[in-house]
Amino acid sequence: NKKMPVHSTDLSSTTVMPDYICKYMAVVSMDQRQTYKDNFNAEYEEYRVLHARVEKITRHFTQLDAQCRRLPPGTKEYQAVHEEVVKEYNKMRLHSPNYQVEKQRCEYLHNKLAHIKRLIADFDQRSSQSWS
Amino acid sequence: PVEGPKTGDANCVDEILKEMTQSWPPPLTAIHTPCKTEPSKFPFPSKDTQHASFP
Repeated sequence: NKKMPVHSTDLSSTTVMPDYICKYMAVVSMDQRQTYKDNFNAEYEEYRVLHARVEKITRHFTQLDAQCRRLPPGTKEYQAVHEEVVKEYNKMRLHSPNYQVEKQRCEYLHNKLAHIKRLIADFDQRSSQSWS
Repeated sequence: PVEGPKTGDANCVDEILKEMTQSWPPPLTAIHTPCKTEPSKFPFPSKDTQHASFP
């Protein structure tokens, strides 16, 4: 039973084209390349910070998940890890109430920056071919 | 303000783990390549990666 999509994080289901697809087209000049690179760098730091934060939390829960899987259900240890998961989750929501929003923002930046980077790489490749 | 699994019931741990262990891609690396130097007007051999692959 699906919840109301108030805070939907399912980006794959969206059919709206991201804004950067129209904004960043193929690079055709060195000036344009520089502008794209500057734009990339302008948001790269924010991206890295968000990425690291999500990565850290994901890693932590992945470790707890692995522990759960190793332990036989019904044991004390299993129960303890389950309680730990709930505790850590509540702690995370307290310290990072905007976690889902930040994660979504990071995913957006990831795709956007990857797009810009790819355009620059394509340009570099075309340039090196035409020069050789 | 984020809707999440309600803690307390038996399935909530599974739900939390499912939500919190979604695969996360490694970070994008910065754009390193300074642009390749201008066309080969210069006679010096350029030290780019193509040469690095030679034994």
